[in-house]
Amino acid sequence: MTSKKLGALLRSVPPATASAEAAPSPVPRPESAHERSSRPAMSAGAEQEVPLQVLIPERVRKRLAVKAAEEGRSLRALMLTAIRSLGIEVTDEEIKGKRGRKGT
Amino acid sequence: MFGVITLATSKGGVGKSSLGRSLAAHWLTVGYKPALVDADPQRSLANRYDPDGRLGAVPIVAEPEERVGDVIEELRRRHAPVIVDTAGFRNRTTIGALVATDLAIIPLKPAVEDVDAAIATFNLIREINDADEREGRPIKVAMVLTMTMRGTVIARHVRQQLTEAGYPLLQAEMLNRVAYPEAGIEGLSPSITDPDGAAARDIASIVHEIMNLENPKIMKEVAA
Repeated sequence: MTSKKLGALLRSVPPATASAEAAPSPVPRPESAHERSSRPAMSAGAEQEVPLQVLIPERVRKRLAVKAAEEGRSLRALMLTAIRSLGIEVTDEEIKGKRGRKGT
Repeated sequence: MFGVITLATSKGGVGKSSLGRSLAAHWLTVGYKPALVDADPQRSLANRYDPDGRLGAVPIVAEPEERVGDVIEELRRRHAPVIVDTAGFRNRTTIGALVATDLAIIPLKPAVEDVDAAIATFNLIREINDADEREGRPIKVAMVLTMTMRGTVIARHVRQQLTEAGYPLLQAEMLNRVAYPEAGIEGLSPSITDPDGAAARDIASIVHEIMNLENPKIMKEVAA
């Protein structure tokens, strides 16, 4: 049981590593050749997915992670929802994702 | 003998890892059974660890996460001293290590940024000592000058200022010597590679002073 004083101290500083954060890694790990070859084939009619890596302000990244955790959705789902709000066509199925991740 | 010694300051590049490994190497050569905890995500110590090398008898556990306190408690059952190297910024793992430590060593170069960081770390330890977890057993603290050039005005000035302000500063210094990076290439330290050399003698002086710190008349406790 952590005392109030120590708890406040701990909350006032960041973790030493990114993995200590509840949020997922800000940059997706590149997929290895083995992972690519062993990946199940996309279902008929589904479009191939490609990686997207962008640099964004750390504050925004953290806020995004918190929002994802609060809503129980993946970062991918949040990003696709935001992209759809820009007028770019993204279907509900695409937001949900091929692996049935927490897309809603 | 201090069971757990943590090297901490909120600034990088002051020689924490070199000092930590050198202290462990010295204690190994004089018959103790030290262990190292690498709580720095950069893994400066763990990356150079060679279990078959001349410092292989000193286990290095890399634990940069907040469970570092558990690792320290586990190691202190079998090793003494347990020496913890921390990251050069204020973070939860360092606080966790400090909570579990007996003596905090704050290394600093003779430069104003290092002095600021050392004082900030000193104040952090004072805050930790106010927590229930350390009630009645405050962490002892000592600062040590590192990478100093013998006889320089700035080193004398920093020493004078810290001493006059009442901060606990060791007399012994870790002078700027090429023996540290040379030995560090193989994850070793001067006490192993050149035990009769000047760097090994510097480390021996620091260890001697650390061991004398257990005398409460000499040691200045933060809680005082």
